[in-house]
Amino acid sequence: MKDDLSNDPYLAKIFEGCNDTEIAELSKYLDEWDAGTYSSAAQSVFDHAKRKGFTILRYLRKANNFNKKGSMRVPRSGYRQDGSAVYRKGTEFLIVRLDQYGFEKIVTYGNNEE
Amino acid sequence: MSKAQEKLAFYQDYILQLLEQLNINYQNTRLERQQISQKDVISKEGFTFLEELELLTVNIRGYACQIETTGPIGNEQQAIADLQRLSVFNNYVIIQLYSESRSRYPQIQTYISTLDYLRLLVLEYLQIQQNLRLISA
Repeated sequence: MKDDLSNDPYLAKIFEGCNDTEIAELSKYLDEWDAGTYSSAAQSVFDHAKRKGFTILRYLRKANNFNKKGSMRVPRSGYRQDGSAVYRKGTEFLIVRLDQYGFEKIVTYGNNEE
Repeated sequence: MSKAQEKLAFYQDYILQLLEQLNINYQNTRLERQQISQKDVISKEGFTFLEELELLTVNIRGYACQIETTGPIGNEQQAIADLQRLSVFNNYVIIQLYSESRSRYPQIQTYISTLDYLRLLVLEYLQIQQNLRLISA
């Protein structure tokens, strides 16, 4: 973790002032995120939370609490030409994409009411 | 520092300012986003207008944030090609709502225009950086 912190200033910013339990929780959520066009998943999450006006932990918890079960997936199977897919439920949506290892990762989480 | 490098530093600073401005603009669109979410505007590939706009936002901001932190972007050529493709006006569902937004959704219109301006700035930054590299090679 120390190496990650020195290589990624955004990871250090995210963990700043957090206790061990919060760091463990944040790390677990960050594993679910894709860097996309950002330099890292940490930078992506940092930027998302700032734009949407949430603390990072609150934003990540909201994304994590999104329940894919019972949501509508577009496309139903596979991915769009740009590699993305969306899970939609009520006013919330989760846009995902496959990472280089073939795991589905979060690109962004949004709520149309917020 | 050469003129081109000075220009890059200016662009970097300007990109940073625009990223901050877009955060404010985004938060100002809240009410209009709530109204738009009630409409059934779906793109050819099945995403709603707000989902398309969110994905576009993330893709463009990602490159801009890389410039904000590190300056040069790793895969420059790929980034240039991506940013050329990411024009907000390449997306039918966004064009459709953009023309309507002039009267109904002014905050959304401002947000879309500023986002596309950011895209163009990042693109120009990368092209200057690429030329600088070719000259020094």
